[in-house]
Amino acid sequence: MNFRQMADQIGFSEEEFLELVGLFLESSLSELDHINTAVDEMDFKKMAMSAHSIRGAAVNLGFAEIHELAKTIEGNAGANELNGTVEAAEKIKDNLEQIVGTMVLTGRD
Amino acid sequence: MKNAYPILVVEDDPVTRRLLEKILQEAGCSEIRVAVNGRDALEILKHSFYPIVITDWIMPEMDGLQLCHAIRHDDLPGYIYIIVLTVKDSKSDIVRGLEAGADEYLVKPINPSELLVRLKTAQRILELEKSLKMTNEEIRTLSIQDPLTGIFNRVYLMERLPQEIKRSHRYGHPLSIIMCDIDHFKDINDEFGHKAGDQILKEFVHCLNAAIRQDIDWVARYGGEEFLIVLPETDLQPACLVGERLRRVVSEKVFRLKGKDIRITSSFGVSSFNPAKDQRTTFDVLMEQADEFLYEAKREGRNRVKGQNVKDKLFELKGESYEEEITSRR
Repeated sequence: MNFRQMADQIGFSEEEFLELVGLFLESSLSELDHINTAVDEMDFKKMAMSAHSIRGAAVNLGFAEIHELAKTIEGNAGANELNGTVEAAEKIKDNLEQIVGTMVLTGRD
Repeated sequence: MKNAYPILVVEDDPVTRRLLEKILQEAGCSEIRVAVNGRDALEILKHSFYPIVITDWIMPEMDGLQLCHAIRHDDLPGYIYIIVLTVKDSKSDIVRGLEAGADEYLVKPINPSELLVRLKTAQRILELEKSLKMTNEEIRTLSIQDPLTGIFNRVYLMERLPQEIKRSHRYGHPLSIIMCDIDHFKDINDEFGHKAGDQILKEFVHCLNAAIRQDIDWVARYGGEEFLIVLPETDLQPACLVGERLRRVVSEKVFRLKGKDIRITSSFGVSSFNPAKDQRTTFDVLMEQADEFLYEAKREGRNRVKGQNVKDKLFELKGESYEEEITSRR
């Protein structure tokens, strides 16, 4: 994960990009909590909304895998299905932790 | 890119919101405001006008497409150029977005260069709208204004007076009109030429305008040297006093034409109606009566005011001073 390269792709400095990543982590972790609660409550609308929010932010910053996982959750929720949702949410969490790890390594946490 | 138009960003995701703000700020956008959903945006648009709206589609409470519909159905002070910016990327999504009233449909991830070039298009459209509006206003002004005197013309009179009459009926308030005419105007034209005649007309109109209530009463040129003054919320007697005051002002004024001082006189026909007493007065009746009294004032020797309520007794002024009443009315 090369933050400088990702920043270049959207025409931002690394500093500005990391500020956005910080915001992304904060909002995505919160949305992930909402997804987990929505799974327990079988609230597909809430599930779709939170997955959509993660998806939009992820695609804009270039986190392609998170975007795809969130898209799966959103699609499932749209079809009132849970098949694969919990796993996708877990994987999103792993990805977010990986981003945190990279930030720690680069001294940006 | 210098964008002079304020932009409203409607986005529930804080990351995208911040990203958009940064892109727009760096592009030199003058004013950027953010809303977190469609409802929030509509609330903002109720109080402040944003000619460019960049909106997400999927949002809680009110989504971007519902916002597009609402904007297109609302009576707003100008055109709003709407850009939908979403992750929904199928052809049918794009069609739905544009059908909802969006001018532009962009798919995330945001490409700053693409967004800015689309904003340039927005600017071009808004500039065109502005110039079209200005041209329309100019045409409208030209179509209702008398080019010589600058007051309203007959076209405007025929359009506006019936509205004034309707309003009087609706609210039960009186209305008066004064038809006036410069006496022996043809002689001025014959002796001094048409240019001098035009000067008299302009100065005459100046006298009329100076004696009426600003933003309430109004004057229109009815024909060559014939004018109509409309006095809303005014009964016959005060209207006749206004006529009398005008008659006196005009008769006392010295006009300088080709090195010669000359004086003119004018005649006035006043017609009034009070909806409380008469529900049937129409534009034609009011105009005919004012014309009739103007004619009578002329026939009786000119330089006088004749007036009457519709279906009422004759009210006549022969030049007495009504300064006190007129002052209290103005």
